[in-house]
Amino acid sequence: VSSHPHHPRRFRAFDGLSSWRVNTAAMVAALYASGACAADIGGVDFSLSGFGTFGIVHSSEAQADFVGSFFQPNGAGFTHRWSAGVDSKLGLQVDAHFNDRFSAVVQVAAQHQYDNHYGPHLEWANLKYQFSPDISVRVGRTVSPFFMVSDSGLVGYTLPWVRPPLEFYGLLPLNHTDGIDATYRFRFNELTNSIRASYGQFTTNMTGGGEARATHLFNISDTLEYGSAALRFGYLSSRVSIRNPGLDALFAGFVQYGQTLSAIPGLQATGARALALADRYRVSNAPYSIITVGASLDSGRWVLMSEWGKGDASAAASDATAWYATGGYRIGAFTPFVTLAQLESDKPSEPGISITGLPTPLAEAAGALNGGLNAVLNAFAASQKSVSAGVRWDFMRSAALKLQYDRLHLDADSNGRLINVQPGFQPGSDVTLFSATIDFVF
Amino acid sequence: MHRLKHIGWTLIGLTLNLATGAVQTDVVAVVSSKSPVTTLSKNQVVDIFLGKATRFPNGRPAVPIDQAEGTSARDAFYTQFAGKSAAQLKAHWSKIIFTGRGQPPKAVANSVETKKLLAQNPDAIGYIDRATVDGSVKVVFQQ
Repeated sequence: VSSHPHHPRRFRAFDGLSSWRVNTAAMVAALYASGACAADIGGVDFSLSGFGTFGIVHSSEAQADFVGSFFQPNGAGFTHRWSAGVDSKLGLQVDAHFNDRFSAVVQVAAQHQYDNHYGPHLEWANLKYQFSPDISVRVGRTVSPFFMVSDSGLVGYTLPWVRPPLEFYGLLPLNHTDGIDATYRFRFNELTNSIRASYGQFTTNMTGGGEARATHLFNISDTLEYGSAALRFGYLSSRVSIRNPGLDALFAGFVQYGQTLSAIPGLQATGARALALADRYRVSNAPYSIITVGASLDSGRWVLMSEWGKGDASAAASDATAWYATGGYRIGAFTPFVTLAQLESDKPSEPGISITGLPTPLAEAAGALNGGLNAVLNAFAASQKSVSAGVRWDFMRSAALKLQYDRLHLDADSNGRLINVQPGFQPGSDVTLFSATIDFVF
Repeated sequence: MHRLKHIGWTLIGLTLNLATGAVQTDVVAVVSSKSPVTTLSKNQVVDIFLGKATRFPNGRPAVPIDQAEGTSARDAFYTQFAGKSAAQLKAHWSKIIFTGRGQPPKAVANSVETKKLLAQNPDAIGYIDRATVDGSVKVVFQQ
């Protein structure tokens, strides 16, 4: 092996940071010199690719923010009349092909995050081993292919819409997991069947100083493809924990109230009830599973896509059913499309601590706790539907302009997927969004 | 009369061609004359080039060779065989690249370069301008 002239240089890349810098500089220089996005450095095949979206959104609802992901602290409507943070993002990816079996991918993405910054974060970093052309295993931080387009959901250029329908894709708003995933693909006649399974976990910071953690995240999906048509089935299960100052204070309040009353003769039952409510609704290691079915057709002219999913939740989270259907038709470089989407959550009916017969100060405290619990259950039980229409214009190779109009209808007792809801917000209202984006890849 | 009709159809055909943008290059899918593969269906060829199939039906690994972006042979191949415009093809590969599932086929400059690579690798498959077909290659699919 050592007689091969390329190998010593290949290994030197991992000797230390300084040589890594030199190699990176060499790689960047090589990329510029060749004018292409691929380079061979020391026997390792590198390719550099990138994607991005510049977008703005306007919302008609001034009393709440429309956001593009669960992890954005503000968006269009209340905080900004026109928001660039909802859809804008930039990503860079380096693929390293070591040999026929080993390859690695690192992807860094920058988008509007929980801390109100656009700082880059490590989206993926994984090592892939290809056992055969049909079987591969990846270890590290990998994409989470929970739904049909969730694995390329950040790459607006690959999507017909400005953004994946939030009613459905919000069922599990994760883009990656830390763990292992395996793919087995086989063909019979002209059908391609791919089975993918993954196991891992993910922890992320949330807006307002919280943390969301999904552990024991198991996902399996089966995709059947024939020509330009695909059919997909998926199942995932996980344990979810969410901590933030508000939730922690609420459940601490229930516990304190329960312990206090448990010590008072005649009020033990009420005390036990308060403790039971804290246990019942605390989002700690709470089982969550989703089943999904999806179908797509991307023929020369037609783009048709639809997915349906059912989430089975516990603790304060609600069971939910979501679906969307999209149809688009290509006319030259233009692809007009329409989308219908709906999210329905079954909010648990919870009377809380019974206040009848309690002395006034205790009844008031119980009322405040009940109100807090109800607000939390409401926040988890988003119900909304939407009608969208838009057009994609492939105005040049590798770039597309999209214009999209969305009409959201929020259920009477739900804020839908809106955040930063102000006291002046009218429940059950309709919200109109207008979005414009330019998506590109390189 | 018959002749006039023929000219009429030709004119209509020409107009349609102009209306759709350009007169299409006539391309065929080819392998090395040393390859054991004799014939493929359109879907089999397209699936190999779109990264959905990694093997020939006989089980041998398949190595697709593209022509460079912007060449008329490439545009003709993907529009006629796969029904995909250059932009749709770009979106297709972006989906695969940015899910870490692979990279598009290696691309060469033209049909002559394609034939050179096919001659070196009996597992390779390419598409070339029909006019450049010679004894070094075997046509496995044509429209």
